[in-house]
Amino acid sequence: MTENSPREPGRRQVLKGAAVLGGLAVVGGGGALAWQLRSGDPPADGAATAGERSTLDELANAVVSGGPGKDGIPPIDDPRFAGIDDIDFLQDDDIVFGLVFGGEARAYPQPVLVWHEIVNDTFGDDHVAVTYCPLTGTTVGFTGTDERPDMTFGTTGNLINSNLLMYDRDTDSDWPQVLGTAISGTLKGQQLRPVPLVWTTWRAWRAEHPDSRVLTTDTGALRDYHRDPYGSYREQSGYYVDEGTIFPVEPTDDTFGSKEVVLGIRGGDSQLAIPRELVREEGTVDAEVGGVSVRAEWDGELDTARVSRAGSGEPADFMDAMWFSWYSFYPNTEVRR
Amino acid sequence: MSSAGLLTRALGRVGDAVDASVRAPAQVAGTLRTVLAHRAYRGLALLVGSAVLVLYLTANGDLAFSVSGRWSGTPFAQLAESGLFDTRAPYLFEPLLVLHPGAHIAVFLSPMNILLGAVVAGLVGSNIAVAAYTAKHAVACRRPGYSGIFAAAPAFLLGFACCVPTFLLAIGSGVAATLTPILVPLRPIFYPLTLVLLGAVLVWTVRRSRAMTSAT
Repeated sequence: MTENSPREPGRRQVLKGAAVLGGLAVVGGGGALAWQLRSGDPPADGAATAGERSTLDELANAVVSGGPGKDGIPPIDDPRFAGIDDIDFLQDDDIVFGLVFGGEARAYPQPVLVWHEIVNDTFGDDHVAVTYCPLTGTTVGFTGTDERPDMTFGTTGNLINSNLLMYDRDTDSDWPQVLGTAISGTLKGQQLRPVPLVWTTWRAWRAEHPDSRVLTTDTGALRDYHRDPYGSYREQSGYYVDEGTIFPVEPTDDTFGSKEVVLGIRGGDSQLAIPRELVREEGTVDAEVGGVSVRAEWDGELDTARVSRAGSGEPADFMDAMWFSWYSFYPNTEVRR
Repeated sequence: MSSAGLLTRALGRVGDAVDASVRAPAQVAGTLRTVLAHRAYRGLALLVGSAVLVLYLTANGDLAFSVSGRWSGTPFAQLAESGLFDTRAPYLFEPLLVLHPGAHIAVFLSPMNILLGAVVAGLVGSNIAVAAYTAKHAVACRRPGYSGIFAAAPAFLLGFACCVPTFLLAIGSGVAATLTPILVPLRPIFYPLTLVLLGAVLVWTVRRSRAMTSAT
């Protein structure tokens, strides 16, 4: 041995090193196995190819985490309302989602819903879950299913094609907001009953419905309701106008700009997308969707579009949606240009 | 040297590292006692730690500032109905109280978020204090740097806006779509990773300090 030869390790040190590495291998291997079991099957590369609608299982495999835990985006379970004159946190051009149900008008401000996404509300004996997904620009109400009209919902913290994935508190089944069909759980395949809301401004709504009740910021949770973290509809900035999405979406289509707002209409097994701006320009657009005759009309008072069944005048099954979102769930949708 | 000899030596090195790790807490505690006994370094640690805590709470949204004064007319204090341990996301808790000391600032108070931030702040402050002490008292020409504090970086990525990590919103949707499949699943480890990294940096800083000064 030369003067510069390294010291040979003692037996105790060697055994200590072997024990540590062995323990790390066991822990690491067990952790990897647990992660694999917890994650289940790897997600599909895409929910569907262009022109083919996804199966429920394909959609379930395309679920991704948005980051928050279950109800980390807290639904409003005890909504508190005030009269028009008692609301002081809204500006004229702020977006509100309006609903007239059972003869009563209520407004759900987008600055509040952007932080909560779900309001489990009641109109008399009727339960209406008012939902909003900021990433897909969709708002729709649900009155449960035919068998379970009193359902309430929470947020899973997960997304599918950037869309809010809800869960019902009765059975813990998962429901994408745009689809309204359970993709997993006991109620898989069942369809929620949609109730359309109108997308309008605070100025227009209070002029049209001066007796309306308005959801307040007294939600039980503390949030910065004066700030929209995604951007601004008032100033047309941020995520709401950028072409890109934050989470992966498949399939995609460039018929319209990704964030262009369309009226997504469902009838039977068919779907139709009409650009909102087209309805504004034309005033009235008549169409047939799955054998159902519908009429899209521009409401100049509320500065919004409504879709109704041509014969009865009853609201059709429709929602405002960003084009990318509507197409991702309904890649075989027809379009009106 | 034979393969067996190399393996034996490698395992011995691991064993030495285990011994060093066992000794590390006592060494860190001893060095910190020495360093923080000096008012100047104690003040430096508090100053740096306070700045880190403010940055941490700002990054996760518990401290918010508005140039335009958007909280004008808002009540000074509002209580939540949340519980102390209600979470929004891993290592991010619901605030119990919000204070508006003026129209330009909002302070969302979550004792758990403050505690988590204080741990990070304490580790960074300790790192800086020991590094500064070593720089002052080092007998060798080479002085230790402060770059180890960047180990705190993952802890500043915990903020959430609704269902989107705020740092991804800051990046922009185009780049974010590429990063989200990678970063969002990793988010739950950001905080513990920060503690491990800062702890390792502190041990390394203490060792260098002991080697370069008369600190005990």
